[in-house]
Amino acid sequence: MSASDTDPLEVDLGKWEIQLRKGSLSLAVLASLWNGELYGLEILRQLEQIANFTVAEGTIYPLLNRLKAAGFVESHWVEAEAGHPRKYFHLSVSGRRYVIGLSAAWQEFASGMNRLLAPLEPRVRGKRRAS
Amino acid sequence: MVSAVHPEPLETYLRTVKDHLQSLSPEDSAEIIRELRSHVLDCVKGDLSNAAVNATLMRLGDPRDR
Repeated sequence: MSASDTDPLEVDLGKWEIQLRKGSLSLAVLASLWNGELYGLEILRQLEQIANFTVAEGTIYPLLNRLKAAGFVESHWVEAEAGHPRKYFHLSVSGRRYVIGLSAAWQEFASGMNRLLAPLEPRVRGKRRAS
Repeated sequence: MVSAVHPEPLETYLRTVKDHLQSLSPEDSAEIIRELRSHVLDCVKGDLSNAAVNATLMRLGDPRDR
């Protein structure tokens, strides 16, 4: 067990970051589909490689199915060369509109927060170097 | 091309998932099972050993929570 596991401040920061990631997951998944269709594992890899966003594998399909039920995502099965069928997901027309709306809201929120957090930046840089 | 015979840990896991999806329609339940099977087979990249399959199933989490 590391010191950060028992430091209440670090534990609280960890919980906060988990909530932040949970709240951003729909946007991240929808955005990953912007350039075209992907199957589940490809979505997970994209989130990890592009955004350093690791998602528990068990959560991705229930989320995709909720997005599908909401009409934002569509899917179809493809008999893959790998020898087993793969389910590919893509954005529906309303899904494309929805992710643009989410992205605009995210960017407005993030730029406001960045302005608010600007005075802390020198300290944050120091913490990044130390960690 | 991987074998159509799926490893026992995977089938056991999927049976447990299916048992806990009684509230869903048979079509929805079958779709979830098919998704999970496809995901596991993607993750193991042809290595159907129990160790490789179990490692993926561990990451998927408790089959009763699907």
